[in-house]
Amino acid sequence: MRRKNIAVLCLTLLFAVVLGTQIAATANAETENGQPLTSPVTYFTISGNVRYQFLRIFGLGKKEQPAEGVNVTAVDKFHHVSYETQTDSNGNYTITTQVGGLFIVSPSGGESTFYTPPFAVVHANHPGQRTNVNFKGFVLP
Amino acid sequence: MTSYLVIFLLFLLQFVYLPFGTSHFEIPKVYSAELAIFVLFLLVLFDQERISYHRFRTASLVSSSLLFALTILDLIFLRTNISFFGNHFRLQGIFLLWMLLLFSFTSSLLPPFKMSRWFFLIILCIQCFFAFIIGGEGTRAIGTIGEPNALAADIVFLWPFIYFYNHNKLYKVGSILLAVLIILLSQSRSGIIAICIQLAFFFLTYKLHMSLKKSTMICLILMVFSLLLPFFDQKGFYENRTQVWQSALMAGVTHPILGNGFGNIQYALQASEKQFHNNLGLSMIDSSHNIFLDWFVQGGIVGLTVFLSFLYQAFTIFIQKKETPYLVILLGLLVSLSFNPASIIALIALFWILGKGMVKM
Repeated sequence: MRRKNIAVLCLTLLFAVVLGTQIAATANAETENGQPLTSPVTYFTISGNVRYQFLRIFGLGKKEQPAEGVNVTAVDKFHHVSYETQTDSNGNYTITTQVGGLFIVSPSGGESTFYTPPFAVVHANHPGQRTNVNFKGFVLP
Repeated sequence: MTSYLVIFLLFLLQFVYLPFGTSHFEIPKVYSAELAIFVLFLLVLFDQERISYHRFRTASLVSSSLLFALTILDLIFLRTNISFFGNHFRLQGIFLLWMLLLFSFTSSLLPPFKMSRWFFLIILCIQCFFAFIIGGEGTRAIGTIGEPNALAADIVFLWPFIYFYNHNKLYKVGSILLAVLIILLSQSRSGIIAICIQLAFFFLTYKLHMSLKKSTMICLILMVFSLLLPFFDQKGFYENRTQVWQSALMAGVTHPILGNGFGNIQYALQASEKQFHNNLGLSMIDSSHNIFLDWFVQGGIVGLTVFLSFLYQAFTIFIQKKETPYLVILLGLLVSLSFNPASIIALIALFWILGKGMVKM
């Protein structure tokens, strides 16, 4: 019985090392060539911030403020699929899309009718994320 | 406890979804499966009465030993950075193959599990619910599996359990309809072919009263003929399949005896694509989209023979023991895996059923 316990302990230790190595190897994976054909769905996250820029007269009033409730849409031009979200009270947004697409990200709605840049192009060719896809909406007094 | 682990691996693993790895659907399932198989092995190891080589068929032991030796040779002579753990999208390397082989042996030693007849129906209903709410690329349902064809393969494996566990005709018909609905939601053509061949098996066995041997032979012939379908549809979806198969065949032929090494299929296919100069060069291919070609590319004729030997042993023992449910499941899985890469869910199901053919009658 003692011999069996030792064997089990050794096997567990060995398995833990191998599984740990596998997890570490996968966590640091760099996928250069994109997603394989017919592979399980992988995700890509696009995030950023939208702010209002107030055009002030004589320097009065607020200059900038986070844009809450602005619709941000990411349209995949390859597969014609769109993802939509709204900015929070700090103007932040996050869109989770699938990997393998060319996304046109654009804001709309809110207090502004003109955002700069009007859209951003994000190429999601591997699992991961793209941060700081930011927009500014100009608001007339 | 051991039965619960097998049930987890076969029926509950499909619902594992955790936000880490390249695919939140596949990678956590692979880790969970490896861990569960190891725990299962330890539990069986402690039960000394069950561990005996005499319980296994000699052919199974020889085939498994040959496969193990082949993987060792691959690790020594053909090792690449993805040989042992596989690529980051599927993790189907030598390590997973060893674990699956271990699962085949350990699960075959356990008595058949007994579950409530409601259990399988509930699992199928939950998967149907997720198929409705989780879609993949375009409008194809992916459920909790993460890929439409893999979802169809899972359903092809699942519905016979409801059919054979329930004596009520309503449940039997309901299970088939529910399975067809999920497969239609996934828009998996291979899934439709698989369920058609399973139903053809039913028709031959129960309506025409053919022997299991004859029915199995006819269904296997139908399966072989179904492999011709991609060649008739050059413009559509199947176009990729024929090109991938051609590339895989070329990759296999370059190292016909011992193959390109288990886990190395991605590199072998990439090298073949460069020679072929087909449209696949634009995509990343990490599977032959046919399980027989996968084994041929990775293990050569030796590897393919081992795999065919496992299948032959399973089919013969199921026919001899009149295990109709296992025959239906094995046929469905084989058809499904003849057109698509294997997900961890399909591999677990396949190796479980192959394990059933490894023990002596």
